[in-house]
Amino acid sequence: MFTTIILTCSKQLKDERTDQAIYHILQGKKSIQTIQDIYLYQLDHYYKILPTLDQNLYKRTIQELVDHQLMETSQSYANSYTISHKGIETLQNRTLPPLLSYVNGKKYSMYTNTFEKRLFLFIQVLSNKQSQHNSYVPIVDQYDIMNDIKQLFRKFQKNSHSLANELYDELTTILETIENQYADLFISRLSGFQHYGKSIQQIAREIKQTEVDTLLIIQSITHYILKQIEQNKQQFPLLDALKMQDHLLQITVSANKTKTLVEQGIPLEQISSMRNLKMNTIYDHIVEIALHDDSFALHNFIDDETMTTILRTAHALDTYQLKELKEALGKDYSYFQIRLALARGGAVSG
Amino acid sequence: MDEQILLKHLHKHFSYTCFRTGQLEIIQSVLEKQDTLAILPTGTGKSICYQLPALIQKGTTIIVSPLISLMLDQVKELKAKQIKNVVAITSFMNHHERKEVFSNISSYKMIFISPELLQHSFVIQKLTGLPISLFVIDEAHCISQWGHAFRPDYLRLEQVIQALQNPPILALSATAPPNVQEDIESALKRNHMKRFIYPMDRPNIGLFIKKLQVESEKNEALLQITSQYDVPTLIYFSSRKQAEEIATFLAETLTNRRIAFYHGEMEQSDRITVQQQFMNNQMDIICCTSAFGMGINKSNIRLVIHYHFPGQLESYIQEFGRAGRDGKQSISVVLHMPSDDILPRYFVEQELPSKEVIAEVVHYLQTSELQFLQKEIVDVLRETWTINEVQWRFLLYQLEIHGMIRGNRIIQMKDVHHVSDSIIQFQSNRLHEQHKNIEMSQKWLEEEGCLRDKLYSNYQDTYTEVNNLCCSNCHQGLADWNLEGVYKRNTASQSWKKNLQQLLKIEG
Repeated sequence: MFTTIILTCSKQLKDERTDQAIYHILQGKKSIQTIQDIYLYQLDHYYKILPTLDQNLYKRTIQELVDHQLMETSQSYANSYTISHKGIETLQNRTLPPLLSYVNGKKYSMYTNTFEKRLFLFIQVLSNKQSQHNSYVPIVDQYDIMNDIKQLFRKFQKNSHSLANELYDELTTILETIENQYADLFISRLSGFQHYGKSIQQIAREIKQTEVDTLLIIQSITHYILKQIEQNKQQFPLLDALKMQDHLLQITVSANKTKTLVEQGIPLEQISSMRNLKMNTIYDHIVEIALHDDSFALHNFIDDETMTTILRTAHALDTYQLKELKEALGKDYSYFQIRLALARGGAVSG
Repeated sequence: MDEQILLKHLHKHFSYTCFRTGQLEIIQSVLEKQDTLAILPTGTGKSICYQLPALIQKGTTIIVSPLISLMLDQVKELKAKQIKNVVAITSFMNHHERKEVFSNISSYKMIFISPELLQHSFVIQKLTGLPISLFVIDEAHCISQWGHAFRPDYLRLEQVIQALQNPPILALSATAPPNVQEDIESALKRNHMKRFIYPMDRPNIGLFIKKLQVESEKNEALLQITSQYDVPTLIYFSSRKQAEEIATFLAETLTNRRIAFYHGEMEQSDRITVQQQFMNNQMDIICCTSAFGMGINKSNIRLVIHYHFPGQLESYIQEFGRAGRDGKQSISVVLHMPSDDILPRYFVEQELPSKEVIAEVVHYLQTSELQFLQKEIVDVLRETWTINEVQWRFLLYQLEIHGMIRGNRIIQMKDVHHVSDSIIQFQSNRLHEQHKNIEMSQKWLEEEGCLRDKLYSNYQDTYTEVNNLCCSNCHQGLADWNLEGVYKRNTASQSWKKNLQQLLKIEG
């Protein structure tokens, strides 16, 4: 699966990027270049699907593909490899498991990890409550996650028995719609009363897959679950509550403060003087938020037309260099607008 | 304090109904504000000796511990017992978490902290405001240069204790022979610590050495022993890679057994998973390095196998001591072949910078006209001379005690050669000592007399004699072990729905 995905990426990138770009996409680098690439080359579903991908493992895998003549030396870049003719042929005969088609990194990678942690901790707490047991080591020891779960229990105000039944119904409704082996795998990761779930390594060994392929399967299952929740929130109230967005964890504390103020409708100049920060710092914050949070509205800072013009220009010149773009666009476009457009834009540019 | 009252406290906080050997005496000494040195064998409940006083006394107890994972485990265990006002301050905390902890610092009854963090003046400043009822040094043998786990930062604890206005001290260790005990007292500048030394022999553990010639025989022997005894088992390795490989090998062969590996390079969540599965009897065999075990409270481990023997007898005693904590018959098996000293000798060499590196670094710092030892410079130094983390800590500490580094200032010395000669001398003494430890281990492994007798005579005057299953020199063969299997294994697979129902305790 992993090699198939690498080959697919390489094919899409058409040797217009180095093979390192694939690593950045899979690992989910938060740079304007990578965000642009995923839209430009239609690889957005693979964005950040392997956030823990090890650089060495990646390099080794590329080397193996080269050894098998599925990749070859790039014509455009030194020290880079691209898919070979044999690679393209091989790719035509390879199929990914249907489940993998549910993977949607750009959309769900910001939820995946936190959703899993919340769900797993929620189940562990619930399972122990059900056994009237309160002396155990929590599987997650992040303060914010533990706090979320505490608040959720407070919010639901139901006894553990009915919560357990409701969660069971919600989970089985979704898991019944995927292959049995995947439902098995998902459940085997859960911990509860005097029971600890299996780790990735353990599952990999059991299903006789590499760890990275196992991670891909797990990501797909979780993305599938997230998609079902999203499509039918009313049917899955508990799971939906566990699926809080976690982008807040990823942006800096300071940018987050700025975000809160922006969302209250306070103009940027005023935020700058309130927080005693330079205007440029506030701009940096807005760009940072835009990179992380697709739902953050930008129309107060940039209109659609300006955005489209900037992205078209970037595409035409094939550059993300701010200075070059600024020179091409002229004085009507600010650096801030260019950065914002690049941070968000993507899809429009094609 | 009266025994009855202490028992009431013990029951209230920990639900135990009686004290184990040594605990009462040590706790009483601590409560009388005496500086105390306690040597208690692994698995006899050392932590109660400070946890109970911490809860009874007013003020805060500070516990210095060498391993972050150990501290985190302790905190988790305490929290699991509903003792919530405890915290581990580690370098892994982010700025935000640390800020929060320090702003509530007086609310904690127990603060676990690493010796490294105690070197920061900011941390000391935060702690000096507290009424400190007790300063605990866990794994106190780390303070001794002759101990097997010497940690330079432990030597600086004396200054820390002074800065904290000399609270009473409790130094704890599972393995500290008399020379190490002396070292602990002198490093802490406390001449009259009340000493409580308890014998560390474990009469319920049989000591077996299986002599082999080549590595492949080890695998055969391992397979034979593990397939014969279906009991909770630990297998110790010196090499992470081999722990992983043998775990895979065993898993492929013993298909009905649940086998995992464990070492310090694993992700923390994976380590917790394996630990907890072993504790909950969901795992049967763990192939591990010395990273496994500290702080593990599993009472029914029956078999501890050493695939590799550690570099010193103290580590061996600690590691096999994790068997049979419930007092039931258990076995230690060492798989030994003559060339087994290669690995520990290699590790010893890795721990210290070479003489050449010492001389060159000292020379460089004195001639470079650098004024400060910034992080970037350290990185360059370490890269240039390939100095690993452990070696760098050693070097830095030596440079500090020789006055060449103060804070992060580089001090120009008159007699540079004296400094490097003296550090090199120290390095070679330490190397010599470590090699001597390895030789002692090898000698014990080749011993023909009673292994129990020879093992403990280095540490204590007497030991409990064992008639049945003493050691492989007193008893022939491995066949007469009768190890009690202790749990039923439920490996029958069932549907995921059933599993989920079980987990959530609901009717199908």
